[in-house]
Amino acid sequence: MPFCASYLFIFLPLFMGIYTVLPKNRRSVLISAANIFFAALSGAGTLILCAVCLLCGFFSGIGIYNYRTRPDKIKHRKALFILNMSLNAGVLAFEGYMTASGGLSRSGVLAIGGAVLPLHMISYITDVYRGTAEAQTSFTALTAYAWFFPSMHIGPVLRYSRFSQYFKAPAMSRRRMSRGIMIYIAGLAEYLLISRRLYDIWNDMLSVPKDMRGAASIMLSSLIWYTSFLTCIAGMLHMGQGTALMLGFPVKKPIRRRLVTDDLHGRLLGYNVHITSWMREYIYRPLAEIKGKGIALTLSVCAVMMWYSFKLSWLCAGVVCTLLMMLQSFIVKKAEYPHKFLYTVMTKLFTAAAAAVPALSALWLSGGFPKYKFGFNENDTETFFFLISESWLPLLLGLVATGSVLPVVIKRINSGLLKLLMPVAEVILLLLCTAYMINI
Amino acid sequence: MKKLTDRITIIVFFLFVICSGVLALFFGRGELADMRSVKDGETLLRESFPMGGNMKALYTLSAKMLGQEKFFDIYYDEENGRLVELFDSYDKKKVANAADAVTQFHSAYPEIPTYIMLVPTASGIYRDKMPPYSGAIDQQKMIERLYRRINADVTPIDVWGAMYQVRDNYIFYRTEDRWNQQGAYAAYSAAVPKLGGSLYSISNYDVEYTHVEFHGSLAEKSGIKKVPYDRINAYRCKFGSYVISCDVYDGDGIDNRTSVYSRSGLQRADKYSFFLGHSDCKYADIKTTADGLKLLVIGSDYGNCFMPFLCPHYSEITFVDPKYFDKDETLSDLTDPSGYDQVLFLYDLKNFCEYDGLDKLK
Repeated sequence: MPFCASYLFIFLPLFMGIYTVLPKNRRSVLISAANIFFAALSGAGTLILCAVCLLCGFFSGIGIYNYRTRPDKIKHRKALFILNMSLNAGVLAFEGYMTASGGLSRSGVLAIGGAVLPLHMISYITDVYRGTAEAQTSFTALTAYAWFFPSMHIGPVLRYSRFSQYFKAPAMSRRRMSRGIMIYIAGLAEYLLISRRLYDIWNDMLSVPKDMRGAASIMLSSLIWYTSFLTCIAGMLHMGQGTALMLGFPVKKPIRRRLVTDDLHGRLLGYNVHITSWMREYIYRPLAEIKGKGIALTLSVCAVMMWYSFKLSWLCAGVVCTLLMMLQSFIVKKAEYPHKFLYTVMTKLFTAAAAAVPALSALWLSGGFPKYKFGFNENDTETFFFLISESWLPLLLGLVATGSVLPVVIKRINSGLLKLLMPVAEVILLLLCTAYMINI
Repeated sequence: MKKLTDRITIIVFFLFVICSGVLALFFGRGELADMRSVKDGETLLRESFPMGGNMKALYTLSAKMLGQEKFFDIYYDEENGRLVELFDSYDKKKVANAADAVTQFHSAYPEIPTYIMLVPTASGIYRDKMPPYSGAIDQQKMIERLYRRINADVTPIDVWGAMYQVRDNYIFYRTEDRWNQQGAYAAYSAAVPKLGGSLYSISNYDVEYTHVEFHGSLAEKSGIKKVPYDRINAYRCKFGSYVISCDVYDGDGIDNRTSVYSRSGLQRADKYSFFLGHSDCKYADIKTTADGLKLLVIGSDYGNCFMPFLCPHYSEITFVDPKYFDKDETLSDLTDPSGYDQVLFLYDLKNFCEYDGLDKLK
């Protein structure tokens, strides 16, 4: 896992050393070997399942591509396509279920994230079927793409048509390497320093007795959960993006942050850009043509939520999210484009409402709510102040620094001094992350 | 400028990770040859990382800044300047087995009056001073439940009230997971009337300050050093020592002494060795000048600092800790319980719940 000491201090320098000296056209072999190694760590069952997906996809891709000009093979082409879609959807659902039920340990503190391999295979098969990409005749190149180890846990999910060319002969550059390193370290810091701390506080809240929970502490703990989730996703994605950049793959930033003027729809699209654009490309657009935009939107949003966690509460969160998006759209039309500030506040409230669903569900399962849910009692005040004293700084860091404010500020300050301070920040963050990695 | 900063970034990053990795793997405390899996590699790296102590201190400092109060199951009570090892979970089966072991022992020796004294740990005494989500077990209730489970012929000794009354005093070490003699005296004041003795009041003791200040295992484990130092003190009877001999066997050999306190124990890393000379002894035999009964104490090292208070009341006290018995060793290999007038099971609650020596008390 990219946040483990053995990954950073043993695997990465060893891998990068060999990767750098290898000729470009041999690098995908090394990436494939690393991919298989990491897949094997997940267990023999996962390895076999994914190998079946990969082999099926490899041969099917060649078949689908070869049959594209043969009218007598249209049915075979369709059958291969449907077979692969079904197989990968099944694997996705199975891994999602196993992760949610604890049978499969997954990335991050929240044990979230479905498998990325089935998404990559779906992207590959669909792009070949549509004719936007050629079939991959090199099994190692396909393995390198499908099981790409920087993306293995939560992404970034790479679209085949865009990245296939890079897997043939990945080219490293100093600029990308440097950027990748800084992004990786930033992701590591987000995950270890902020997300894990907030998750520990969330876990503490789950063990608070029912009679000490009240409205204030429940609301605050929902915010804590939400921030922990966001920083966990952001951290893991940045680690993936950083590693991919180091290897020479021009992966775009996975989080599109805007402080203001972002509606709920835009926020959802902007968080984990790769998975949302994957969903839009391979689920929303085909469904919108058949079933209409409303149903396509609902199913896509629910699919994204279920991909994060294969649980009923997340499905409900997806439905709530869709309804709120539609409500916001309705309000905006009726109000004839309200003031930016009000618009932003509305978006933030709606985001919090949608995010509260999984948090409240977990709280309910851990011990229930007290009788007077909306009252403020003495015990609730005590719990609330304990929570605030423990969480105010990581919450502030999570919401402000990694949410929208700091990245926007850094982007807008384009000074030489800031560039000089970057290596200093790098050292400080590296030391802090190392301290956390070897002690937690 | 961009090129320069890019180069610096790359060089600094790889220099740091390569040097750290090499130092940890090849010059650390662990053995590379013992690495069998990736998990072993991760453990090796963590244990052997260069400047591990400094890294722990850095982690603790930054975690504290982020509002953390619990480090590796140790709660840092900054207001009162103490570290408390949380007791928040236990194996129900082990606890039941331990309680049944006491009952079975008494069934084997029904003629010997048997007592049980379960001592609450700091986690129980200071439970209400910790956050509501700390998960600390209600030790008072747990001790009561255990006493009810054990055979009614075994006399329970309740020391909770006596210790709770003086909890604002220095009765537990701030950086160790044990009580000190002040806490032991509070328990002694509740225990000795039940054992049939007369209480020696505190005015009968002089407190000897050993002038040894230390940070114990909890400070080491948590990395928090901003806690006041602990002190080792000895309660010495004003009328002279009752102890004639104190023979302690820790598995390496017998240490023959004439005092239950040992200055050489203060040279060890574990300062608790001041009491009986060893904190990990499996057998100790104390003979005194007192005319009295013979007592067999079965318990954990918690009892070490309690022994001096029992000396005026018994002619002989034998202490055994089944945790340190050899693999096939049983109690009857070390001593014959039927030769004693009383048997006292003396455990702190945490160790009692982890007790795994059911068959060693044969």
